[in-house]
Amino acid sequence: MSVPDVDRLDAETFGRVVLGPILAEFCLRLWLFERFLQGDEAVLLFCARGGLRLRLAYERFLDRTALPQRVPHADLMVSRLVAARTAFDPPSPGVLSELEREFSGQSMAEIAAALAQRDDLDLPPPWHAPFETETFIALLAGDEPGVVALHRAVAEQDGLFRAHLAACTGGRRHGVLVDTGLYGSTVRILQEGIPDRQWSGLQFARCNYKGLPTPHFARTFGLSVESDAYKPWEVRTSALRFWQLIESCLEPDLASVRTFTAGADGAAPRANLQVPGWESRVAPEQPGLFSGVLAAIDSLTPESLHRVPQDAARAWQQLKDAVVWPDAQAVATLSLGHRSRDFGRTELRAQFAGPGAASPLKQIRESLWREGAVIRTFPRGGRLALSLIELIYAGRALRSEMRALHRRER
Amino acid sequence: MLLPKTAAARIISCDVFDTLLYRDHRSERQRFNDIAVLAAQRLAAERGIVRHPGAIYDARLDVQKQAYRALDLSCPTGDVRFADMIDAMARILSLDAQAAEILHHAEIAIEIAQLTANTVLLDWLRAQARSGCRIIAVSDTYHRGETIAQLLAARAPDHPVAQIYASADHNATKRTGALFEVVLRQEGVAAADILHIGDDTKADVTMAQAAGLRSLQVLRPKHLVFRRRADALQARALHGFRIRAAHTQRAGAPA
Repeated sequence: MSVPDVDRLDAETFGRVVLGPILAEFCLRLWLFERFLQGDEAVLLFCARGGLRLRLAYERFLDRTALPQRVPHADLMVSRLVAARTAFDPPSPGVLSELEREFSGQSMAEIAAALAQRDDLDLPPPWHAPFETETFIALLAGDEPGVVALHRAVAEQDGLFRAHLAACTGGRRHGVLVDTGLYGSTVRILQEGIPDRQWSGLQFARCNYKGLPTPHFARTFGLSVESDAYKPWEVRTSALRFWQLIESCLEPDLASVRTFTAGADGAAPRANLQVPGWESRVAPEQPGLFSGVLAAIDSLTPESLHRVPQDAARAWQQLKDAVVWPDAQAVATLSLGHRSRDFGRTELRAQFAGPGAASPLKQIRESLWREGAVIRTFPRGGRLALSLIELIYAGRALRSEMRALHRRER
Repeated sequence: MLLPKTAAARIISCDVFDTLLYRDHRSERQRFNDIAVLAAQRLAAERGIVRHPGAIYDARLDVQKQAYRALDLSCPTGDVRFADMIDAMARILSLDAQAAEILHHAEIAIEIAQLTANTVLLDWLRAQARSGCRIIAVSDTYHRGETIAQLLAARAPDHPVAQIYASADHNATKRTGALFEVVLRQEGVAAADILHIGDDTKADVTMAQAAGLRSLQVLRPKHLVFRRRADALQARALHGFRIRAAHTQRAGAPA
């Protein structure tokens, strides 16, 4: 690639040159989708937290390119935790599979504390055993004071969320959730928890990396990436090799949505994310990836709109070069710090596993960006290791494609 | 094609594409490619606007993909209108209304060029019309009825079709059964009085029968289906090469 050399870029320039055109293409596709939504029931709900920045980018894109907005937009204060409360009593299949995956090895009391956002539930001893689906369902049917308090806390929070949702949708019944991705748990769980509304999902990427059932995929699309794994021959899937880069760019420095408080004087409930001045924190205060994205979108005009797909095609190749074949400079540029584990928990996960890990290989395996970790750990022989990794991924992807082909033939 | 001697029906309803009018071996992707090449030539010649055929092709594919996905989520029984797709294409290609007309005409010109009349079926329909049968066309398409009439007039000028029902006009499709309800309501006959002829198993057979119509399936030869698939693969690969070449050209161009 001759324009410009991403290896010499800082984060903001990387955002402007690489992620900016990619997100401009996302905005273009989102507009096309919005353009063809029929009826007057739909509302685009930009989901906290990544969706808040997607809305900022999208509305600025519409403004710069003079494309007309046809459907109302709103910020939806939601998270998997908030969605899970809507389908908790009794827990839906979507909620149970999320809990099983997210809290693997942790106790059911910890799950209860996360859902209720309380640590004073005083649950009976069986709750302190590791999560097991059938046991969890049975324990939820108990009438001990702690269990009653759990149900009450979840119902109270769910009621506040539903009031917030009603305020966002303004009587429209089709919520189109706009979010970063990947599996779309929120769409799945809201379909189960609030079935009297229609739900759809428009994500930057859609990927069933969890290997869970996908009943919601018929109504959930990845506008920029749709694949269950990285495929070396599909340049867009390189976003899946370092998904935290996309999340880090799009998630503002605001807390994940966990709780709501009732609004004063009949106002809609407010989420914990909505601290004073939260709107201004959606836009970045410091130069970085997202300020670069906004700069790229600001440079668009109605006359330059036709170049968006071509610029995006170039940018996707540059993203792949930086993420799949990084050098030391790319690793430095794309160092993001810690990422939240979320789902009501406060623990963080490091982008690169620390030296406390048993071996360099384990450090690489436990890192959020393995290719970056390879170059950090093996500055000299890293390129060879990257080739090996690419070969392994190519083999896996081919095997998976062949299996899919056989399934289709059957 | 096996057609009965008489239709034994008051109305014969016919699908249009690959039934009354045959498409050739070219895939939809190849057709979009041909449209893009023609549109790019006309934009340059008539308006002095330079757009790479690959960009027009990408816009056509992208618009259609997102349009039908949005439709599936918001009005699954309805259809997309071609005029709306042209409007969206023009906007994302930074073209004005006159240039949008060029996109529209390029598409219709290629459609006409690549369609042929199903003369066997049309002869049979003319005979049925002479014996008192009313002939109607019922199509799942983003084109309006008047465009279908234009295509029929161009390829089968003496066709016996008295009325055209296009899903885009009624926002109702055969594949969901909704268009058959419109046909029955407007024609004012019992479902059993209509014989529906078409190539698509779901839209023309299953859903027609579910609406109470009698149905007759006319299939294109299997070798044509395989040729179209191969053609689609070829069109995809060629487009990939062309786009890469365009990028290389642009990257190497002086600032």
